[in-house]
Amino acid sequence: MTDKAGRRVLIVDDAALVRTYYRTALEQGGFLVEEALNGLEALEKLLLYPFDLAIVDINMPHMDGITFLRTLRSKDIPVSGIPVLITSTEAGPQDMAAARSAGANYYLVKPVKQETLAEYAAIFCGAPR
Amino acid sequence: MNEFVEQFLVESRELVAQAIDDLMALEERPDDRERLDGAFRAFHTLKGAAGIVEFAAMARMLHAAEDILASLRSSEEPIAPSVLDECLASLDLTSHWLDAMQTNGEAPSTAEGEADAMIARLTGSQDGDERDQAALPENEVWLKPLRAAAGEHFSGICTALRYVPSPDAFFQGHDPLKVVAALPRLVAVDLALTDAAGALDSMNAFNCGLEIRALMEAPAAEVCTAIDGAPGKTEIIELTSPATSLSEGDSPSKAMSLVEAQLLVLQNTGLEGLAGRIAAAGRTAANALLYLGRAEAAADLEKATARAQAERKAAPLIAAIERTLGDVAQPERPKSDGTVQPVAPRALRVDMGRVDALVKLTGELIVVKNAVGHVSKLLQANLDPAAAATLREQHALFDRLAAELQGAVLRIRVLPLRSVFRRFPRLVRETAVGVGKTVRLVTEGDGTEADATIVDALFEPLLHVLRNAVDHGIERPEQRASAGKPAMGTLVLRARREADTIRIELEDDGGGIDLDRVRAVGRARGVATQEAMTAMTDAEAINLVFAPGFSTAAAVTGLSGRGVGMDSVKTAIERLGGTVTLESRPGTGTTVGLILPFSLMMTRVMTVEVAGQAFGLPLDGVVETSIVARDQIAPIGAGRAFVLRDRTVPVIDLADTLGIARDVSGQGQAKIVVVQAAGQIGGLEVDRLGERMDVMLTPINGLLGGMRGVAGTTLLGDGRVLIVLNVEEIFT
Amino acid sequence: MTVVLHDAKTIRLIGACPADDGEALLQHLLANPAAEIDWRGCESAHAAVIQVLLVSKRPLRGPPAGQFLHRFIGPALARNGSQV
Repeated sequence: MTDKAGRRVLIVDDAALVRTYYRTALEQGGFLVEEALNGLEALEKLLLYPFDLAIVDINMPHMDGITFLRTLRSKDIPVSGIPVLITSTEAGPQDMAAARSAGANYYLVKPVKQETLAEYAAIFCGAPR
Repeated sequence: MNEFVEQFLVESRELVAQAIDDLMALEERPDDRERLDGAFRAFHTLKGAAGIVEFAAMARMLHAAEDILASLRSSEEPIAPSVLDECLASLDLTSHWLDAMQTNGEAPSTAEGEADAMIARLTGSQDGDERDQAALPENEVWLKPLRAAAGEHFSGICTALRYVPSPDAFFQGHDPLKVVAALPRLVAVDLALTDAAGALDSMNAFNCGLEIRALMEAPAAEVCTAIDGAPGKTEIIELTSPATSLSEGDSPSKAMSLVEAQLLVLQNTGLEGLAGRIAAAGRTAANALLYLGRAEAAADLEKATARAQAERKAAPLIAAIERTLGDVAQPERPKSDGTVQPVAPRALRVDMGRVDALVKLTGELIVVKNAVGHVSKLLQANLDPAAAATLREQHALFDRLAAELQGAVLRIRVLPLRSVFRRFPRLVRETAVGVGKTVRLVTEGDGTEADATIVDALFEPLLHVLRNAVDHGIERPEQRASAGKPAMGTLVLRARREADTIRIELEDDGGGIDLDRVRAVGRARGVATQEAMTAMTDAEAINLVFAPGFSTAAAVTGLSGRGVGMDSVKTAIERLGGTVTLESRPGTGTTVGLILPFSLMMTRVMTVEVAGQAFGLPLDGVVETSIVARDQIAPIGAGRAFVLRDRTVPVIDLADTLGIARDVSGQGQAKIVVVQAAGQIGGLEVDRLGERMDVMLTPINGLLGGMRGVAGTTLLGDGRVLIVLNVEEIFT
Repeated sequence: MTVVLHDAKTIRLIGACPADDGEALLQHLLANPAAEIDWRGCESAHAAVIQVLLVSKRPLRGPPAGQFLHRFIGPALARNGSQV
């Protein structure tokens, strides 16, 4: 049976506070958490380790979330199929549309409560209730 | 308010400072895009931070300021000083709120009203029209005219479609507009020409060069069905999808809306990354179903995903997802208990002493585990096979659990590097003022974590490296000006985790290292022989600055020229088990890299024996082991050496070094551990080669404290104390 | 015939204009640089025809007979610079 233990989540956000906030929520929920500060770093990490979910911010230096997603999805390798949850402060329909057209599996508008994030991570990872 | 307030206050102050810095720089050079980007990002991050601590007024006000910066970013116009003034005022207000929060622990009650007033000032500072469009992401530019086209009809619009028929659509007998005319509940149509269309006198009327955009009051799924089979590319965007709004509701409905949202991911077919989309959508939907306890439906979806991947078409997966949406009503295994899970507190503050006690106990447990392993190995021969097997299995389990426990315990001891980094900006400023330079410090990745001991021990060496950069790295303002650089120097301090190590880099945009000068000083101070010096490559010559007592400053200043050079940094970092690298780009800057272990505690060692006494050698320094006939070891100068694959390797007898007397004359062969130290290869002669193991290294103190060549100690399974050697110190 | 050159000043679109009318219309437009288009009798038009209208930006005399053309395509052409 599936279980949250050992599920790996990559948090991609340039804001340290956000990463800590997410990490706390996810680790409390039994997930293994890695962090990346931008899209480039995220791509590196994804190629290094297997992940079950990437939680990605949009506005980041070096490589933003949308470019990251496009790059990731355009590759014909297994890692391009990792589920991606976008969390962003942008709430406009065009932002959500841009994320989806880049291949995001879901979009949550920041601030995302810790309980909500952990809940979505559990759904994304198929952990039974 | 919540437990993140403390971190919020610290980070927000840094962000405010950074934003002010960028805005001030923009005032001087209004066309500095980097500063504009920096300011924008600082506001953006501040806004996000405000959201986390639920400080709505601050988030709202910063959002307005961020909007203005965003429009400046997308505009070619020079930035009006009045706009910058208002942005600075918004930062002042933010600082004021942060102060209040620090004192009272909560956001001031006046914040809402102050935010409203500030937002009015911000929006008033800019005469606003025609800026939204430019700010839209490139691929969404088409949505806006389409919405405008819908005009009064625009009410409960659901879906936008962008359809680029393939160029040979007409030849194939298709009429793309007929497809569009048949779309459900059409509200507006917009037409555009692709590059393929050309001018009237050069156009080919049989080639399709149209891009058709349509807006419909229909859900995406319906539009998707209607457009299905049309040749060309389509992009379908559901503008008001319940699945992507701030979805509230219980977990099952969240899970179902997540499943439903995957349809939207798949409907933008014809666009790039189909394989990735199929895999991600299939995995997400299947996992959401597993979450709901619908294992059969999940298995069904996984099959559909495989089929979709094989056919390189989203259709099979779309159909499967739609099927699962159809029978939401009957979950296979309905949950009978409606109990609410108690919510555990999310973080605890624990005294460091207690954590250290836990680390120590875990260390002792590991020792006991090793002892049990030792005993069980001794017993193996005397036990009956079944009992021996059980013992082996149980020990393996013990081994694994102990390792997991150790990992978990060590994770408690981590601290973010921020706790050291945050002290630097002020120190750098002060240092710079002291030498008549202006320098700013940008930190990146300060949330990177490492063992608390390492984080604490980093302050001194890092400060030294920073001062060095300010003092020697960054040029004098007039030199910078003549080199075409901004007067203000920039230091970037960044950290990140790389597997089991932490990499910290300090990059300056100064003049780089003057190699000729390094060589000259190296000669003058005798840190290397003339001969060695000429043989050195540039990369090797740079490392001369790590030599004890080296300093290239033309003038000894009150800062880094205190007779403490980069060698002290190197020593401090190596004491922590790390390494230091140096890279110089002449004219453009220097990067100092520090690579440190994530955790101090675990060391992989190889045991060796000399005169009946066991020692550990850290495995990361061991290159190989070799058995050499004694007559192959020849005296060279004061020492001895042997040839290993055409390479002369100096040999040191470990017994001699440690002052242990023994007789080796009877042995025809010598056992050599080839190690790497300070970039050199060397051989250590030992009596016996032992096993490899992970040990918890205890730093040495007391009697052994001053002993050279010793890295630490650990307890072995049989109760003996293993002294772990510092190979570097033995060879130098 | 669904594309008819009425005189050197007017090209008429009549009834349902198929794909081939795109090329016919293009030839008429090139041959009569000053001609405008009268699509009042046009019930429907293939995308190939609309594409030529879009590229030409010639004045259009309407409104067209067909509902879809009238409600959606006319406004779209107008937004792209055709004088309707």
